[in-house]
Amino acid sequence: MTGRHTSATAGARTWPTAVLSAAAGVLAVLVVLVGLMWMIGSPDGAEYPGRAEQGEQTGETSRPGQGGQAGQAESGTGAVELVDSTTHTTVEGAPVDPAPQQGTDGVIVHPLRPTPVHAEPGGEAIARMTPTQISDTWLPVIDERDGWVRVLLPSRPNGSTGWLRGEDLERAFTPYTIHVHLGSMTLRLLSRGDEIGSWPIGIGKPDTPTPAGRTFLLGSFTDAAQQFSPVILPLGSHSDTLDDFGGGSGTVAIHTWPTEDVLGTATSHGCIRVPRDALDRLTEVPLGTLVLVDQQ
Amino acid sequence: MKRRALAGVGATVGSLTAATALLIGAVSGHASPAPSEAYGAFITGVIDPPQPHVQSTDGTEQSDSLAELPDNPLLDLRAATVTAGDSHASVELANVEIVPSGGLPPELEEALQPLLDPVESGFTQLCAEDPTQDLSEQLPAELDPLTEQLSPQQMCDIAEDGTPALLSADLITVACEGDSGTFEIANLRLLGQEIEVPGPDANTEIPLDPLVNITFNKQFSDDDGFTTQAMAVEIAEGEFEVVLASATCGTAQDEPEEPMAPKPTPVETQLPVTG
Repeated sequence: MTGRHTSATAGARTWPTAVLSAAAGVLAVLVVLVGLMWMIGSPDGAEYPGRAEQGEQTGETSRPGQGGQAGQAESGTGAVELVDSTTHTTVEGAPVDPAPQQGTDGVIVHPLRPTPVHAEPGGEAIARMTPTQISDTWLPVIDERDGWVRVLLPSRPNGSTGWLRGEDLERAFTPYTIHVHLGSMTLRLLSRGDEIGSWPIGIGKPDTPTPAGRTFLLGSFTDAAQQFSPVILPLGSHSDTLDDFGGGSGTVAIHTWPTEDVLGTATSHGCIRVPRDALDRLTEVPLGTLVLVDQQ
Repeated sequence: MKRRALAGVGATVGSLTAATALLIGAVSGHASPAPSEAYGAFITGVIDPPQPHVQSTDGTEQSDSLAELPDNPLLDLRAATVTAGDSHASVELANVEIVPSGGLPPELEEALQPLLDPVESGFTQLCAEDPTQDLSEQLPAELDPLTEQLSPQQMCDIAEDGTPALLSADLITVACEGDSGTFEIANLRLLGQEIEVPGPDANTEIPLDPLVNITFNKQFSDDDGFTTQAMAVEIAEGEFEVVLASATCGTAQDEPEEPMAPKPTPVETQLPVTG
Protein backbone atom coordinates (compact mmCIF):
# COMPACT_ATOMS: atom_id res chain seq x y z
CA MET A 1 0.00 0.00 0.00
CA THR A 2 1.24 3.45 -0.76
CA GLY A 3 1.53 5.47 2.41
CA ARG A 4 3.23 8.49 3.81
CA HIS A 5 6.82 9.03 2.81
CA THR A 6 8.76 9.76 5.95
CA SER A 7 11.82 11.77 5.08
CA ALA A 8 14.80 11.10 7.31
CA THR A 9 17.48 13.21 5.73
CA ALA A 10 20.47 11.81 7.52
CA GLY A 11 23.13 13.13 5.25
CA ALA A 12 24.55 15.85 7.56
CA ARG A 13 24.04 13.97 10.78
CA THR A 14 25.93 11.30 12.61
CA TRP A 15 24.56 7.78 12.38
CA PRO A 16 23.06 7.55 15.95
CA THR A 17 21.39 10.95 15.53
CA ALA A 18 19.86 9.87 12.23
CA VAL A 19 18.50 6.68 13.80
CA LEU A 20 17.03 8.56 16.75
CA SER A 21 15.55 11.15 14.44
CA ALA A 22 13.94 8.49 12.26
CA ALA A 23 12.63 6.64 15.32
CA ALA A 24 11.11 9.87 16.64
CA GLY A 25 9.48 10.45 13.28
CA VAL A 26 7.96 6.96 13.22
CA LEU A 27 6.76 7.44 16.79
CA ALA A 28 5.16 10.75 15.85
CA VAL A 29 3.35 9.14 12.95
CA LEU A 30 2.07 6.35 15.22
CA VAL A 31 0.82 8.86 17.77
CA VAL A 32 -1.00 10.80 15.08
CA LEU A 33 -2.48 7.58 13.69
CA VAL A 34 -3.73 6.36 17.05
CA GLY A 35 -5.12 9.79 17.86
CA LEU A 36 -6.98 10.03 14.59
CA MET A 37 -8.38 6.51 14.88
CA TRP A 38 -9.54 7.27 18.40
CA MET A 39 -11.28 10.45 17.27
CA ILE A 40 -12.94 8.76 14.32
CA GLY A 41 -13.81 5.69 16.34
CA SER A 42 -13.44 3.48 13.32
CA PRO A 43 -11.81 0.12 13.92
CA ASP A 44 -10.62 -0.18 10.36
CA GLY A 45 -9.01 3.25 10.30
CA ALA A 46 -11.73 4.48 8.00
CA GLU A 47 -10.38 7.97 7.57
CA TYR A 48 -6.84 6.89 6.87
CA PRO A 49 -4.64 9.92 7.32
CA GLY A 50 -1.62 8.79 5.35
CA ARG A 51 -2.99 9.89 2.05
CA ALA A 52 -1.41 10.90 -1.19
CA GLU A 53 -0.23 14.46 -1.53
CA GLN A 54 -1.74 14.75 -5.00
CA GLY A 55 -4.34 12.02 -4.78
CA GLU A 56 -2.99 10.30 -7.84
CA GLN A 57 -0.58 7.57 -6.87
CA THR A 58 0.11 4.12 -7.96
CA GLY A 59 -2.19 1.84 -6.04
CA GLU A 60 -1.79 -1.82 -5.42
CA THR A 61 -3.62 -3.92 -7.90
CA SER A 62 -5.37 -7.00 -6.62
CA ARG A 63 -8.15 -9.30 -7.68
CA PRO A 64 -11.73 -8.17 -7.26
CA GLY A 65 -13.38 -9.46 -4.14
CA GLN A 66 -10.32 -9.35 -2.01
CA GLY A 67 -9.96 -7.21 1.05
CA GLY A 68 -12.61 -5.33 2.98
CA GLN A 69 -14.77 -6.74 5.72
CA ALA A 70 -17.50 -9.30 5.85
CA GLY A 71 -21.09 -8.33 6.54
CA GLN A 72 -20.89 -9.87 9.99
CA ALA A 73 -17.90 -10.15 12.26
CA GLU A 74 -17.22 -12.12 15.37
CA SER A 75 -16.71 -9.90 18.36
CA GLY A 76 -14.38 -10.77 21.18
CA THR A 77 -17.26 -12.30 23.11
CA GLY A 78 -18.28 -14.52 20.23
CA ALA A 79 -21.43 -12.51 19.46
CA VAL A 80 -22.06 -11.63 15.85
CA GLU A 81 -21.85 -7.90 15.19
CA LEU A 82 -23.22 -6.16 12.14
CA VAL A 83 -20.67 -4.27 10.11
CA ASP A 84 -21.53 -0.74 9.07
CA SER A 85 -22.25 -0.41 5.38
CA THR A 86 -19.76 2.28 4.35
CA THR A 87 -17.42 2.98 1.50
CA HIS A 88 -14.74 1.15 3.51
CA THR A 89 -16.55 -2.14 4.06
CA THR A 90 -17.80 -5.17 2.20
CA VAL A 91 -21.28 -6.44 3.01
CA GLU A 92 -21.72 -10.08 2.18
CA GLY A 93 -25.15 -11.39 1.33
CA ALA A 94 -26.42 -8.05 0.03
CA PRO A 95 -28.90 -8.58 -2.79
CA VAL A 96 -27.67 -7.44 -6.19
CA ASP A 97 -29.22 -4.42 -7.88
CA PRO A 98 -31.83 -5.95 -10.20
CA ALA A 99 -31.91 -3.04 -12.65
CA PRO A 100 -28.48 -1.35 -12.76
CA GLN A 101 -29.41 1.04 -15.57
CA GLN A 102 -32.92 2.01 -14.50
CA GLY A 103 -33.94 5.41 -13.18
CA THR A 104 -35.97 5.95 -10.04
CA ASP A 105 -38.67 8.39 -9.03
CA GLY A 106 -36.10 10.52 -7.16
CA VAL A 107 -36.97 9.48 -3.61
CA ILE A 108 -33.98 9.39 -1.29
CA VAL A 109 -33.79 8.45 2.38
CA HIS A 110 -31.66 9.42 5.33
CA PRO A 111 -31.37 7.10 8.37
CA LEU A 112 -32.58 8.93 11.47
CA ARG A 113 -30.71 6.47 13.67
CA PRO A 114 -28.37 3.51 13.14
CA THR A 115 -30.63 0.99 11.47
CA PRO A 116 -30.16 -2.60 10.31
CA VAL A 117 -29.81 -3.38 6.62
CA HIS A 118 -31.78 -6.49 5.66
CA ALA A 119 -31.41 -8.88 2.75
CA GLU A 120 -35.19 -8.75 2.28
CA PRO A 121 -38.11 -7.06 4.07
CA GLY A 122 -38.28 -8.56 7.54
CA GLY A 123 -35.45 -10.92 6.67
CA GLU A 124 -31.92 -11.38 7.90
CA ALA A 125 -29.95 -8.31 8.94
CA ILE A 126 -26.71 -8.20 6.98
CA ALA A 127 -25.26 -4.85 7.99
CA ARG A 128 -25.96 -1.55 9.74
CA MET A 129 -26.56 1.87 8.20
CA THR A 130 -25.51 4.94 10.15
CA PRO A 131 -26.96 8.46 9.83
CA THR A 132 -23.58 9.97 8.98
CA GLN A 133 -20.69 8.69 6.95
CA ILE A 134 -18.57 11.18 5.02
CA SER A 135 -21.52 13.56 5.13
CA ASP A 136 -25.12 12.92 6.16
CA THR A 137 -26.06 9.56 4.70
CA TRP A 138 -28.60 9.85 1.86
CA LEU A 139 -29.44 6.75 -0.19
CA PRO A 140 -31.54 6.38 -3.35
CA VAL A 141 -34.72 4.30 -3.06
CA ILE A 142 -35.03 1.71 -5.85
CA ASP A 143 -38.06 -0.16 -4.51
CA GLU A 144 -40.64 -0.05 -1.72
CA ARG A 145 -42.75 -2.76 -0.15
CA ASP A 146 -45.02 -2.76 2.89
CA GLY A 147 -43.20 -0.12 4.86
CA TRP A 148 -39.73 -1.20 3.72
CA VAL A 149 -37.51 0.59 1.23
CA ARG A 150 -34.77 -0.92 -0.88
CA VAL A 151 -31.72 1.27 -1.29
CA LEU A 152 -28.35 1.19 -2.99
CA LEU A 153 -25.54 0.60 -0.51
CA PRO A 154 -22.22 2.49 -0.33
CA SER A 155 -20.27 -0.67 0.57
CA ARG A 156 -18.58 -3.24 -1.62
CA PRO A 157 -19.29 -5.10 -3.81
CA ASN A 158 -20.60 -2.78 -6.52
CA GLY A 159 -24.31 -3.12 -7.14
CA SER A 160 -25.12 -4.00 -3.53
CA THR A 161 -28.59 -3.20 -2.24
CA GLY A 162 -30.42 -3.67 1.04
CA TRP A 163 -33.79 -3.15 2.70
CA LEU A 164 -34.35 -0.62 5.48
CA ARG A 165 -37.39 -0.10 7.67
CA GLY A 166 -39.27 2.97 6.50
CA GLU A 167 -39.96 4.19 10.02
CA ASP A 168 -36.23 4.68 10.63
CA LEU A 169 -35.86 7.03 7.68
CA GLU A 170 -36.35 10.62 6.64
CA ARG A 171 -37.53 10.94 3.06
CA ALA A 172 -36.79 13.59 0.46
CA PHE A 173 -36.91 14.10 -3.28
CA THR A 174 -34.10 14.92 -5.68
CA PRO A 175 -35.07 16.02 -9.18
CA TYR A 176 -31.60 15.26 -10.53
CA THR A 177 -30.02 12.28 -12.23
CA ILE A 178 -26.37 12.12 -13.29
CA HIS A 179 -25.60 10.09 -16.41
CA VAL A 180 -22.01 9.06 -17.02
CA HIS A 181 -21.35 7.68 -20.50
CA LEU A 182 -18.04 5.85 -20.57
CA GLY A 183 -18.06 5.28 -24.34
CA SER A 184 -18.46 8.93 -25.31
CA MET A 185 -16.70 10.13 -22.13
CA THR A 186 -19.43 12.61 -21.34
CA LEU A 187 -21.38 13.41 -18.21
CA ARG A 188 -24.94 14.70 -18.43
CA LEU A 189 -26.90 16.30 -15.62
CA LEU A 190 -30.67 15.94 -15.83
CA SER A 191 -33.33 17.65 -13.77
CA ARG A 192 -36.80 16.09 -13.89
CA GLY A 193 -35.70 14.27 -17.03
CA ASP A 194 -34.49 17.39 -18.85
CA GLU A 195 -30.81 17.80 -19.60
CA ILE A 196 -29.42 20.90 -17.94
CA GLY A 197 -25.74 20.29 -18.61
CA SER A 198 -23.33 18.09 -20.56
CA TRP A 199 -19.56 17.99 -20.25
CA PRO A 200 -16.54 15.97 -21.50
CA ILE A 201 -14.97 13.86 -18.79
CA GLY A 202 -11.92 11.76 -18.07
CA ILE A 203 -12.50 8.16 -16.99
CA GLY A 204 -10.57 5.14 -15.75
CA LYS A 205 -7.75 3.52 -17.70
CA PRO A 206 -8.46 0.13 -19.31
CA ASP A 207 -6.75 -1.68 -16.43
CA THR A 208 -8.46 0.46 -13.78
CA PRO A 209 -11.81 1.16 -15.41
CA THR A 210 -14.61 3.27 -14.01
CA PRO A 211 -17.25 0.70 -12.99
CA ALA A 212 -20.55 0.77 -14.84
CA GLY A 213 -23.90 0.44 -13.10
CA ARG A 214 -26.21 2.33 -10.80
CA THR A 215 -24.69 4.23 -7.92
CA PHE A 216 -25.19 7.56 -6.15
CA LEU A 217 -23.60 10.69 -4.73
CA LEU A 218 -22.35 9.52 -1.35
CA GLY A 219 -20.68 12.66 -0.06
CA SER A 220 -19.24 16.08 -0.68
CA PHE A 221 -15.99 17.11 0.94
CA THR A 222 -13.03 19.41 0.75
CA ASP A 223 -9.50 18.36 1.56
CA ALA A 224 -6.98 21.08 2.18
CA ALA A 225 -4.13 18.62 1.70
CA GLN A 226 -4.78 18.11 -2.00
CA GLN A 227 -4.95 20.50 -4.88
CA PHE A 228 -6.61 18.58 -7.70
CA SER A 229 -10.18 19.55 -6.87
CA PRO A 230 -11.81 22.19 -4.65
CA VAL A 231 -14.57 19.72 -3.79
CA ILE A 232 -14.60 15.93 -4.17
CA LEU A 233 -17.83 14.01 -4.67
CA PRO A 234 -17.35 10.35 -3.69
CA LEU A 235 -19.84 7.87 -5.13
CA GLY A 236 -21.24 4.64 -3.73
CA SER A 237 -19.13 2.58 -6.14
CA HIS A 238 -15.59 1.25 -6.00
CA SER A 239 -12.87 0.31 -8.40
CA ASP A 240 -13.25 -3.31 -9.43
CA THR A 241 -9.49 -3.67 -9.87
CA LEU A 242 -8.11 -1.67 -6.94
CA ASP A 243 -9.12 -3.01 -3.55
CA ASP A 244 -7.45 -0.03 -1.97
CA PHE A 245 -5.84 3.06 -3.32
CA GLY A 246 -3.79 5.86 -1.81
CA GLY A 247 -4.75 4.68 1.64
CA GLY A 248 -8.45 4.66 0.77
CA SER A 249 -10.82 1.89 -0.23
CA GLY A 250 -10.82 2.40 -3.96
CA THR A 251 -13.83 4.71 -3.77
CA VAL A 252 -14.82 6.18 -7.12
CA ALA A 253 -15.44 9.92 -7.10
CA ILE A 254 -16.26 12.87 -9.29
CA HIS A 255 -13.76 15.73 -9.13
CA THR A 256 -11.80 18.19 -11.22
CA TRP A 257 -8.18 17.83 -12.29
CA PRO A 258 -5.40 20.44 -12.45
CA THR A 259 -5.12 20.17 -16.23
CA GLU A 260 -7.97 19.90 -18.70
CA ASP A 261 -6.06 17.67 -21.11
CA VAL A 262 -7.35 14.66 -19.20
CA LEU A 263 -10.88 15.38 -20.39
CA GLY A 264 -11.92 12.98 -23.13
CA THR A 265 -9.25 10.46 -22.08
CA ALA A 266 -9.23 7.19 -20.17
CA THR A 267 -6.33 7.93 -17.86
CA SER A 268 -7.62 7.86 -14.27
CA HIS A 269 -7.62 5.07 -11.73
CA GLY A 270 -11.41 4.93 -11.93
CA CYS A 271 -12.48 8.39 -10.85
CA ILE A 272 -14.51 10.64 -13.09
CA ARG A 273 -12.65 13.86 -13.85
CA VAL A 274 -14.86 16.77 -14.84
CA PRO A 275 -14.33 20.40 -15.87
CA ARG A 276 -14.68 23.07 -13.20
CA ASP A 277 -18.05 24.36 -14.41
CA ALA A 278 -19.43 20.81 -14.22
CA LEU A 279 -18.20 20.47 -10.66
CA ASP A 280 -19.81 23.80 -9.76
CA ARG A 281 -23.17 22.45 -10.95
CA LEU A 282 -22.71 19.01 -9.44
CA THR A 283 -21.93 20.38 -5.99
CA GLU A 284 -25.48 21.80 -5.98
CA VAL A 285 -26.95 18.33 -6.46
CA PRO A 286 -28.32 16.63 -3.32
CA LEU A 287 -26.50 13.67 -1.86
CA GLY A 288 -28.29 10.42 -2.64
CA THR A 289 -28.86 11.51 -6.24
CA LEU A 290 -28.69 8.61 -8.67
CA VAL A 291 -25.59 8.24 -10.86
CA LEU A 292 -26.10 5.96 -13.86
CA VAL A 293 -22.84 4.83 -15.43
CA ASP A 294 -23.13 3.07 -18.79
CA GLN A 295 -20.91 2.11 -21.71
CA GLN A 296 -22.60 4.39 -24.24
CA MET B 1 -81.80 -18.26 -21.32
CA LYS B 2 -78.69 -16.27 -20.61
CA ARG B 3 -75.43 -16.26 -22.43
CA ARG B 4 -71.93 -16.33 -21.18
CA ALA B 5 -69.96 -13.28 -20.30
CA LEU B 6 -67.23 -12.17 -22.62
CA ALA B 7 -64.84 -9.26 -22.33
CA GLY B 8 -61.76 -11.43 -21.93
CA VAL B 9 -59.91 -9.34 -24.48
CA GLY B 10 -61.08 -6.14 -22.85
CA ALA B 11 -59.99 -7.33 -19.45
CA THR B 12 -56.58 -8.36 -20.77
CA VAL B 13 -56.04 -5.02 -22.46
CA GLY B 14 -57.21 -3.30 -19.30
CA SER B 15 -54.78 -5.29 -17.18
CA LEU B 16 -51.88 -4.54 -19.49
CA THR B 17 -52.77 -0.86 -19.50
CA ALA B 18 -52.93 -0.87 -15.73
CA ALA B 19 -49.60 -2.66 -15.43
CA THR B 20 -47.94 -0.22 -17.83
CA ALA B 21 -49.43 2.73 -16.01
CA LEU B 22 -48.20 1.39 -12.70
CA LEU B 23 -44.70 1.01 -14.11
CA ILE B 24 -44.70 4.55 -15.48
CA GLY B 25 -46.13 5.85 -12.25
CA ALA B 26 -43.36 4.19 -10.31
CA VAL B 27 -40.65 6.15 -12.04
CA SER B 28 -42.25 9.42 -12.96
CA GLY B 29 -43.98 11.28 -10.25
CA HIS B 30 -45.44 11.86 -6.85
CA ALA B 31 -48.99 12.79 -7.69
CA SER B 32 -51.45 10.65 -5.82
CA PRO B 33 -54.54 10.35 -8.02
CA ALA B 34 -57.85 9.34 -6.53
CA PRO B 35 -58.66 5.66 -7.07
CA SER B 36 -62.04 4.76 -8.52
CA GLU B 37 -64.11 1.70 -9.27
CA ALA B 38 -67.17 0.75 -11.32
CA TYR B 39 -69.19 -2.38 -11.85
CA GLY B 40 -72.34 -3.35 -13.70
CA ALA B 41 -74.04 -5.90 -11.50
CA PHE B 42 -73.56 -7.84 -8.30
CA ILE B 43 -75.78 -10.60 -6.98
CA THR B 44 -74.72 -12.52 -3.90
CA GLY B 45 -73.47 -15.94 -4.94
CA VAL B 46 -74.66 -15.51 -8.51
CA ILE B 47 -72.70 -12.65 -10.10
CA ASP B 48 -70.15 -12.60 -7.35
CA PRO B 49 -67.63 -10.96 -7.80
CA PRO B 50 -69.41 -8.28 -9.78
CA GLN B 51 -69.30 -8.08 -13.56
CA PRO B 52 -68.13 -6.20 -15.51
CA HIS B 53 -65.78 -4.57 -13.05
CA VAL B 54 -62.88 -2.12 -13.38
CA GLN B 55 -60.66 -0.35 -10.89
CA SER B 56 -58.30 2.55 -11.39
CA THR B 57 -55.76 2.75 -8.60
CA ASP B 58 -53.38 5.23 -10.21
CA GLY B 59 -55.74 7.58 -12.02
CA THR B 60 -55.38 6.06 -15.48
CA GLU B 61 -58.72 5.39 -17.11
CA GLN B 62 -59.85 1.78 -17.20
CA SER B 63 -62.86 0.50 -19.13
CA ASP B 64 -64.52 -2.81 -19.73
CA SER B 65 -67.71 -3.99 -21.34
CA LEU B 66 -69.88 -7.04 -21.34
CA ALA B 67 -72.51 -8.12 -23.85
CA GLU B 68 -74.12 -10.73 -21.63
CA LEU B 69 -74.07 -11.80 -18.02
CA PRO B 70 -73.35 -15.31 -16.79
CA ASP B 71 -76.41 -17.54 -16.92
CA ASN B 72 -78.64 -16.74 -13.95
CA PRO B 73 -82.39 -16.49 -13.23
CA LEU B 74 -82.33 -13.02 -11.69
CA LEU B 75 -80.77 -10.58 -14.10
CA ASP B 76 -80.36 -10.15 -17.81
CA LEU B 77 -78.98 -7.32 -19.92
CA ARG B 78 -77.76 -6.67 -23.43
CA ALA B 79 -74.78 -4.41 -22.81
CA ALA B 80 -72.82 -3.14 -19.86
CA THR B 81 -69.99 -0.61 -20.01
CA VAL B 82 -67.98 0.43 -16.98
CA THR B 83 -65.29 3.09 -16.76
CA ALA B 84 -63.09 4.23 -13.88
CA GLY B 85 -60.44 6.95 -13.85
CA ASP B 86 -58.97 9.70 -11.72
CA SER B 87 -61.78 10.60 -9.33
CA HIS B 88 -64.49 9.64 -11.80
CA ALA B 89 -66.41 6.48 -12.63
CA SER B 90 -69.47 5.59 -14.67
CA VAL B 91 -71.70 2.66 -15.56
CA GLU B 92 -74.14 2.21 -18.43
CA LEU B 93 -76.46 -0.79 -18.63
CA ALA B 94 -78.80 -1.38 -21.57
CA ASN B 95 -81.96 -3.50 -21.76
CA VAL B 96 -81.93 -4.62 -18.16
CA GLU B 97 -84.42 -7.18 -16.88
CA ILE B 98 -84.71 -8.18 -13.22
CA VAL B 99 -86.31 -11.59 -12.71
CA PRO B 100 -86.85 -11.73 -16.47
CA SER B 101 -89.29 -14.68 -16.45
CA GLY B 102 -89.92 -18.00 -14.89
CA GLY B 103 -90.00 -16.76 -11.34
CA LEU B 104 -87.45 -16.68 -8.60
CA PRO B 105 -84.85 -19.34 -7.85
CA PRO B 106 -86.14 -21.79 -5.22
CA GLU B 107 -83.96 -20.58 -2.36
CA LEU B 108 -85.01 -17.00 -2.91
CA GLU B 109 -88.63 -17.90 -3.32
CA GLU B 110 -88.47 -19.75 -0.01
CA ALA B 111 -86.88 -16.79 1.70
CA LEU B 112 -89.51 -14.44 0.34
CA GLN B 113 -92.46 -16.76 0.99
CA PRO B 114 -93.94 -14.62 3.78
CA LEU B 115 -94.02 -11.67 1.44
CA LEU B 116 -95.11 -13.41 -1.73
CA ASP B 117 -97.91 -15.56 -0.35
CA PRO B 118 -100.31 -12.75 0.55
CA VAL B 119 -99.53 -10.95 -2.69
CA GLU B 120 -100.23 -14.03 -4.72
CA SER B 121 -103.46 -14.89 -2.94
CA GLY B 122 -104.54 -11.26 -3.04
CA PHE B 123 -103.98 -11.10 -6.76
CA THR B 124 -105.74 -14.35 -7.39
CA GLN B 125 -108.77 -13.20 -5.46
CA LEU B 126 -108.79 -9.74 -7.02
CA CYS B 127 -108.50 -10.90 -10.57
CA ALA B 128 -111.17 -13.56 -10.04
CA GLU B 129 -113.65 -11.18 -8.47
CA ASP B 130 -113.16 -7.69 -9.89
CA PRO B 131 -110.04 -6.73 -11.89
CA THR B 132 -110.96 -3.04 -11.68
CA GLN B 133 -110.49 -2.85 -7.93
CA ASP B 134 -107.68 -0.92 -6.32
CA LEU B 135 -104.61 -3.05 -6.05
CA SER B 136 -103.13 -1.23 -3.10
CA GLU B 137 -105.25 -3.06 -0.54
CA GLN B 138 -103.86 -6.37 -1.73
CA LEU B 139 -100.22 -5.35 -1.61
CA PRO B 140 -97.84 -4.08 1.05
CA ALA B 141 -98.37 -0.36 1.56
CA GLU B 142 -94.65 0.31 1.08
CA LEU B 143 -95.02 -0.67 -2.57
CA ASP B 144 -97.51 2.10 -3.20
CA PRO B 145 -94.97 4.36 -4.98
CA LEU B 146 -94.70 1.63 -7.55
CA THR B 147 -98.04 -0.15 -7.54
CA GLU B 148 -100.29 2.87 -7.46
CA GLN B 149 -99.16 3.53 -11.00
CA LEU B 150 -100.26 0.13 -12.21
CA SER B 151 -103.50 -0.66 -13.92
CA PRO B 152 -105.28 -3.49 -12.09
CA GLN B 153 -106.80 -4.72 -15.31
CA GLN B 154 -103.42 -4.96 -17.00
CA MET B 155 -102.04 -6.76 -13.98
CA CYS B 156 -104.75 -9.37 -14.18
CA ASP B 157 -104.21 -9.68 -17.93
CA ILE B 158 -100.54 -10.26 -17.33
CA ALA B 159 -101.33 -12.93 -14.80
CA GLU B 160 -103.19 -14.81 -17.47
CA ASP B 161 -100.94 -14.15 -20.44
CA GLY B 162 -97.50 -14.84 -19.12
CA THR B 163 -94.76 -13.56 -16.97
CA PRO B 164 -93.06 -10.35 -17.98
CA ALA B 165 -89.95 -9.26 -16.15
CA LEU B 166 -90.54 -8.13 -12.61
CA LEU B 167 -88.61 -4.94 -13.35
CA SER B 168 -87.03 -3.81 -16.59
CA ALA B 169 -85.45 -0.68 -18.01
CA ASP B 170 -84.12 0.37 -21.38
CA LEU B 171 -81.16 2.19 -19.93
CA ILE B 172 -79.60 2.57 -16.48
CA THR B 173 -76.69 4.93 -15.96
CA VAL B 174 -74.84 6.16 -12.91
CA ALA B 175 -71.71 8.26 -12.65
CA CYS B 176 -69.68 9.90 -9.94
CA GLU B 177 -67.30 12.83 -10.08
CA GLY B 178 -65.50 13.37 -6.82
CA ASP B 179 -68.21 13.35 -4.18
CA SER B 180 -71.22 13.96 -6.40
CA GLY B 181 -73.23 11.48 -8.42
CA THR B 182 -75.75 11.33 -11.26
CA PHE B 183 -78.39 8.70 -11.85
CA GLU B 184 -80.79 7.91 -14.68
CA ILE B 185 -83.19 5.10 -15.45
CA ALA B 186 -84.98 5.27 -18.79
CA ASN B 187 -88.33 3.53 -19.29
CA LEU B 188 -88.63 1.64 -16.03
CA ARG B 189 -91.32 -1.02 -16.15
CA LEU B 190 -92.88 -3.03 -13.36
CA LEU B 191 -94.43 -6.24 -14.61
CA GLY B 192 -94.40 -4.75 -18.08
CA GLN B 193 -96.10 -1.49 -17.17
CA GLU B 194 -94.06 1.68 -17.40
CA ILE B 195 -93.80 3.54 -14.12
CA GLU B 196 -92.15 6.68 -12.85
CA VAL B 197 -88.67 6.19 -11.49
CA PRO B 198 -88.77 6.59 -7.73
CA GLY B 199 -86.89 9.62 -6.59
CA PRO B 200 -85.18 11.51 -8.05
CA ASP B 201 -83.72 12.25 -4.65
CA ALA B 202 -80.79 10.13 -3.53
CA ASN B 203 -81.52 7.12 -1.33
CA THR B 204 -85.17 6.68 -2.18
CA GLU B 205 -85.99 3.56 -0.20
CA ILE B 206 -88.85 1.12 -0.55
CA PRO B 207 -88.53 -0.93 2.61
CA LEU B 208 -90.49 -4.14 2.78
CA ASP B 209 -89.36 -4.74 6.30
CA PRO B 210 -88.01 -7.10 7.37
CA LEU B 211 -87.45 -9.06 4.21
CA VAL B 212 -86.59 -6.71 1.41
CA ASN B 213 -85.22 -3.22 1.16
CA ILE B 214 -84.99 -1.58 -2.24
CA THR B 215 -83.05 1.65 -2.69
CA PHE B 216 -83.01 3.67 -5.88
CA ASN B 217 -80.15 6.11 -6.47
CA LYS B 218 -78.32 4.84 -3.42
CA GLN B 219 -75.48 7.15 -2.42
CA PHE B 220 -73.06 6.76 0.45
CA SER B 221 -69.52 7.54 1.56
CA ASP B 222 -67.16 5.16 3.31
CA ASP B 223 -63.45 4.39 3.47
CA ASP B 224 -63.42 3.63 -0.25
CA GLY B 225 -64.84 7.02 -1.15
CA PHE B 226 -68.17 8.21 -2.54
CA THR B 227 -70.41 5.59 -4.15
CA THR B 228 -73.58 5.92 -6.18
CA GLN B 229 -75.67 2.91 -7.21
CA ALA B 230 -78.68 2.88 -9.51
CA MET B 231 -80.52 0.25 -7.53
CA ALA B 232 -79.63 -1.80 -4.51
CA VAL B 233 -81.82 -4.57 -3.15
CA GLU B 234 -81.17 -6.13 0.22
CA ILE B 235 -83.00 -9.33 1.06
CA ALA B 236 -83.05 -11.06 4.45
CA GLU B 237 -81.29 -8.17 6.13
CA GLY B 238 -78.43 -8.12 3.70
CA GLU B 239 -77.81 -11.86 3.42
CA PHE B 240 -78.74 -11.62 -0.21
CA GLU B 241 -77.89 -8.51 -2.15
CA VAL B 242 -78.50 -7.26 -5.66
CA VAL B 243 -76.73 -4.13 -6.89
CA LEU B 244 -77.21 -2.65 -10.32
CA ALA B 245 -74.72 -0.11 -11.69
CA SER B 246 -72.28 0.99 -9.00
CA ALA B 247 -69.70 3.78 -9.37
CA THR B 248 -67.21 4.67 -6.62
CA CYS B 249 -64.96 7.72 -6.64
CA GLY B 250 -62.13 7.49 -4.11
CA THR B 251 -60.59 10.48 -2.48
CA ALA B 252 -57.03 11.42 -3.33
CA GLN B 253 -54.66 9.77 -0.94
CA ASP B 254 -53.25 12.20 1.53
CA GLU B 255 -49.64 11.47 0.78
CA PRO B 256 -47.64 14.65 0.81
CA GLU B 257 -44.93 14.94 -1.81
CA GLU B 258 -41.47 14.33 -0.53
CA PRO B 259 -39.74 17.53 0.54
CA MET B 260 -36.98 18.72 -1.74
CA ALA B 261 -33.62 17.26 -0.71
CA PRO B 262 -31.13 19.74 0.70
CA LYS B 263 -28.16 21.07 -1.22
CA PRO B 264 -25.11 19.47 0.36
CA THR B 265 -22.53 21.44 2.27
CA PRO B 266 -19.04 20.02 1.72
CA VAL B 267 -17.37 18.78 4.87
CA GLU B 268 -13.65 19.06 5.53
CA THR B 269 -12.21 15.58 5.65
CA GLN B 270 -9.75 13.25 4.01
CA LEU B 271 -10.86 10.30 1.94
CA PRO B 272 -8.43 9.02 -0.65
CA VAL B 273 -10.36 8.33 -3.84
CA THR B 274 -9.19 6.64 -7.02
CA GLY B 275 -8.07 9.93 -8.56
